[in-house]
Amino acid sequence: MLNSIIRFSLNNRLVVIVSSVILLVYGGWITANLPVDVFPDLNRPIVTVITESHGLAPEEVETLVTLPIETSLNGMPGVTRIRSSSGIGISIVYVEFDWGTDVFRNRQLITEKLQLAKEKLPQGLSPIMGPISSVMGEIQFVGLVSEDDSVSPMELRSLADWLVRPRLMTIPGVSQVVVMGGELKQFQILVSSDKLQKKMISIEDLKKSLSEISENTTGGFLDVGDKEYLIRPIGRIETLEDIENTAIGMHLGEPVFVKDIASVQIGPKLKRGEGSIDAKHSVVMTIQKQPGASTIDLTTQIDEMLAVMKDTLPEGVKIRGDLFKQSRFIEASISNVKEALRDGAIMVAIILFLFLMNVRTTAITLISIPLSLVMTFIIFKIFGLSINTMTLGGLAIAIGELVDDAIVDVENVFRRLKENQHLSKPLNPLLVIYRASSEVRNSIVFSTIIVVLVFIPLFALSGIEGKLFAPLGISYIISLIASLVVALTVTPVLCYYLVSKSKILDHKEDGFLVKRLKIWHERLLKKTINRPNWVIGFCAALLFFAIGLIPLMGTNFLPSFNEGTATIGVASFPGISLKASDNLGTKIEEAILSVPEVKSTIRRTGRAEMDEHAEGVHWSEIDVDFHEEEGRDRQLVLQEIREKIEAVGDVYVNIGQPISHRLDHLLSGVRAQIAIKIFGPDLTELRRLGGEVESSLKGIKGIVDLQLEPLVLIPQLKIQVYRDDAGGYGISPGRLTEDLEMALNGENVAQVIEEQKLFDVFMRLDDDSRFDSEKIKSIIIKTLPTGQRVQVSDVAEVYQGTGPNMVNRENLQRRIVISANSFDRDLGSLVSEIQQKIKADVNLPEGYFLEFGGQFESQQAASKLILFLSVLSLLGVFFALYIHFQSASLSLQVMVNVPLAFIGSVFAVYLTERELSLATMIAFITLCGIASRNGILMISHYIHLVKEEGEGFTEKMVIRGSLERLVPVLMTALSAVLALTPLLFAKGEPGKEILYPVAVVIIGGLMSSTMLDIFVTPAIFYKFGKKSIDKMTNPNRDENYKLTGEEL
Amino acid sequence: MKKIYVLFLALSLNVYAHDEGHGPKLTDAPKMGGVVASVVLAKEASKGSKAELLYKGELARTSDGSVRIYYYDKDMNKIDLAAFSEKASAEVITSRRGKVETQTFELVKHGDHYMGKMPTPARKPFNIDVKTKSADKELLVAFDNLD
Repeated sequence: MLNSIIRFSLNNRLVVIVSSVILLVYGGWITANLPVDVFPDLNRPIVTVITESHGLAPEEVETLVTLPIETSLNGMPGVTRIRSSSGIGISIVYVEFDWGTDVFRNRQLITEKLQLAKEKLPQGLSPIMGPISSVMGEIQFVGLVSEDDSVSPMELRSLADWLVRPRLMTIPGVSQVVVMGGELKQFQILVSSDKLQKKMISIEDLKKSLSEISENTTGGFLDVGDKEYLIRPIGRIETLEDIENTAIGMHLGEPVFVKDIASVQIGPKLKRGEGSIDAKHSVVMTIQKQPGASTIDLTTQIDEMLAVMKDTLPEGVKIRGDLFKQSRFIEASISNVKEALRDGAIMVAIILFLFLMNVRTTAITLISIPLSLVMTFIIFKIFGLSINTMTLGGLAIAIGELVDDAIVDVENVFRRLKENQHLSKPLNPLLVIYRASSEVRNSIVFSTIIVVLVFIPLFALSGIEGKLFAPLGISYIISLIASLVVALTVTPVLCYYLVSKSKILDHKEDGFLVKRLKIWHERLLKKTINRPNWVIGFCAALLFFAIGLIPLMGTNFLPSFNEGTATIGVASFPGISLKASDNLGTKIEEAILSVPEVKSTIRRTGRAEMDEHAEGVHWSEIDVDFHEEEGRDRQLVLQEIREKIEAVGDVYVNIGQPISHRLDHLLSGVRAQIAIKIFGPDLTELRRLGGEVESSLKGIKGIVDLQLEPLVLIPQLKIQVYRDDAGGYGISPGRLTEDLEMALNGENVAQVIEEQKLFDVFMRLDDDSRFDSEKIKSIIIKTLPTGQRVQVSDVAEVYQGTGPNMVNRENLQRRIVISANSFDRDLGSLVSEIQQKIKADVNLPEGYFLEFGGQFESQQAASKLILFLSVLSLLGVFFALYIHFQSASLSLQVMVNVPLAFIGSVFAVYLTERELSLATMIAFITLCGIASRNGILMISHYIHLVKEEGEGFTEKMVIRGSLERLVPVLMTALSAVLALTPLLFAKGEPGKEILYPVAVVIIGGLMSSTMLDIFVTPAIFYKFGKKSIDKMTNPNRDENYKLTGEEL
Repeated sequence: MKKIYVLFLALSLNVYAHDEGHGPKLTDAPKMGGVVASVVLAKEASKGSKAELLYKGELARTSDGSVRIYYYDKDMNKIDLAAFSEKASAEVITSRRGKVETQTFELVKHGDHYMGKMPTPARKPFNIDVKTKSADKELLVAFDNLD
């Protein structure tokens, strides 16, 4: 079939050329229109269930809200983990599903379960699902600022809520805009407890009256003559006066109005979060995209909309669209990888020209690069893949190999045409090209099959590693198959047009470089070919040395990304008020801004309404953007920032990057590389054990950002109802606590409509009535028929106690987490030391257990799987080689290249990173395929010489074969190596972080396998290959007998 | 700044002050997830918040009644309990409308802390007062308003 393809192409040369041109043009257009993103879609199917719980304490939120929701969601198909956080007035349940499950199906299942769970929740609580978003979903921040403070925080917030947010939400692809900061406008009825007592109105009665304060109803229709009138009883409030003049009861025969017992005002809603830009209070809007939406396109549309809105804003309001944008990281990353691709292609062109010393043959070989690339992008389009750093990375790794098949073909065609030229009766060049291409077709097809086979098991990787590396593998494989197609079709045709009639064929001798190389190679071969034991011993020694280096290297999950921005988590002590935490945050921002490299800061303290985090007000997240021009090394800058923050106050600091932070969170639910989770039933015991683990880990080398999850006791003012006392007044405890909730926490009783904007009418006791415990004790909760007024102190004890600030759970168990990052030390050895320390120092009581999570957990799982898959890959390679050679001995001789490559790659990693990451391991596997090519080319040619050209199994034949294959072997290896050098000299640049270790391994491995292979394979083949060749060339052997159609 | 921050916390806690306690009010973060209180000489208990702070004590209590008491120096570093008595006595105190009820239990030294099991309190809230001896001095640490 392969011969038919070559024959068809040579017979239909014009069709092939025209098709190639069409392919280039169409592919170019497709490429320009493919969606661009920084990474493949890493989104794990997670659904967030949020329940706002009216300021309930965390223990109550856990028992009354979180637990019923968790219980009903537990056991749903596809659920791998349920995590939850119960904070003050908020319950957030994260339901994690298997990778690959359909997010819409998952949400449907959850909707059904929530219907059932809702019946078990306290009245008025309604769980809702967070929007569909992705890990890389937070694409941009937009700020609203009043620089001269001429616009109030309330006006700013209203503008954000009612003008900017709705318009941003209309952009297709925007999934959520979370608004934080400013002041949320409310119509407030602040009731005086004293006045309420004087008017002898109980909270219970007040609540009932206020619930009817604003109502419009319908009165049906009235026909008057030929006209129909809609009857509208209108009782809706519109102004503060409307509220003030509403009657809420009677006292001594006189009506009591709201204004008699309360002050009515417009005021800010109680906040649990604050926003700031560049240390100035602002409204911060976080824009999240839907999974699959193109970040760059979306950012452009958002910027366009912001530019339009700019002119419509009131004077004194500035809209800040120049803050953090994920698109900048994407553009920098993609541009860097494109640069690596371009430079790689230039390197390949130089190498080809140096070896071939001919423009035409170089051009034929090089054309396979653009053709293979556009064919790959067309396949991307068909399968809905995007251009991202991983798919481009696959191409950057493949670029040197894309020319391999063409090199082998061109080199052989060129050599055969030269030989033909010097024959007395030269054959038709078309026939020579056909025969030359056919001669090498098996080698190139099998080499490509092996490279592809090696990669296929990697598609079994799941999790983030699978999501990251599968697209790299897909683009790598597709481009290599495309290059094979080009080598079988376009290359022979171009050889006919450009080489067959070229004058260069008249030159019988090789170029200078090739001539010198062949002389050196021949000398080397003559010294080694008869010393196979020496050769094997030498290689074995190198291999053992390389294996010995492995334990000296560290391990990591993935290399660190360079996102260009920093996300700094700052935690002060839980129990701090929002105001104090905000003041602290402002000072921290000022400290960060004093670092010269810092361009801007965005701070979010606490949480916004419907935010998908249950963080308390003690927590601030500060996103730091840096100036584009080069400054000091980023690590130095971050260290200075850390020191400056720590100098501001007694705070815990965690410095990371936006996407990396979220990836860590996605892996373990914790924003750190290492997560030690302790599970158990009692919160105090968990906190105690957490404390023991934390103190045990202090001082370990390489551990930074060590933090015990701040689950602590915070001050609570408790009102302990005594049932017997309450019962004496005929008051039920439930009624009493509900009334107290209304009085102290407040409740929305109605809504006011202002120009289509809805604002809450909120009621609670005024600050004078609830300022301290004594005031609370004197709140009247009931007036008895005798006129006796029952106060809180009559039925309850009011005291200052403590309670947990938050309760976190995982898989229906309470848990506490000790998190840490590694600095200047590999993750593997650090975790190993941590495990030993905990084992020695911490004694877990019955019912408590400990789990390790984070990158480390994923790394271990992935490493085991990769080791297993690499064994499968090697078996696959052996099987493919056996099919090709029909000899186990020859197959193993080819596979000798694998350990030869291993030697160089280990040396390369040791000399550079000294760290084995997932990327390194995957590069090792890739290398197995690439390195096998050299062996296939050499041994196939020996067989060809014996079978087709009548050579005997002699030393002369092996040397001849090796010399004839020297050029293609060196050219393919050098082009693969040099194509990767742009990645090698770009360590840590955005977009190249994961590709750098891949390049190190492949370059090191290819260099060692090529340098060793040129004398190891001939020596081994000469020692062990005779038997296999004899079998192959003996037509009478049963193994060589083939059934033919005639016989059948 | 640290001082201002601590002062702020101290002031905000005072807003909710229930009673004077024994020894200065503390704002230290607990090391073992419990509550921290001043350790004073038992004979100075009547001085209320003016009693001299000798050490700091942390109470870590589980729902099954297990009680652990840790002792720290003024900088919240754990102290060596070698000089402390092997046992400590504790009282669970409740009161309502002037009626005070007291239940006692014993704590035994376990390495760097004392451990024991408390009786079920008569009502909530309750206080736990722990007395131990160090170099012939009787030390008191009182944890108020527990529930």
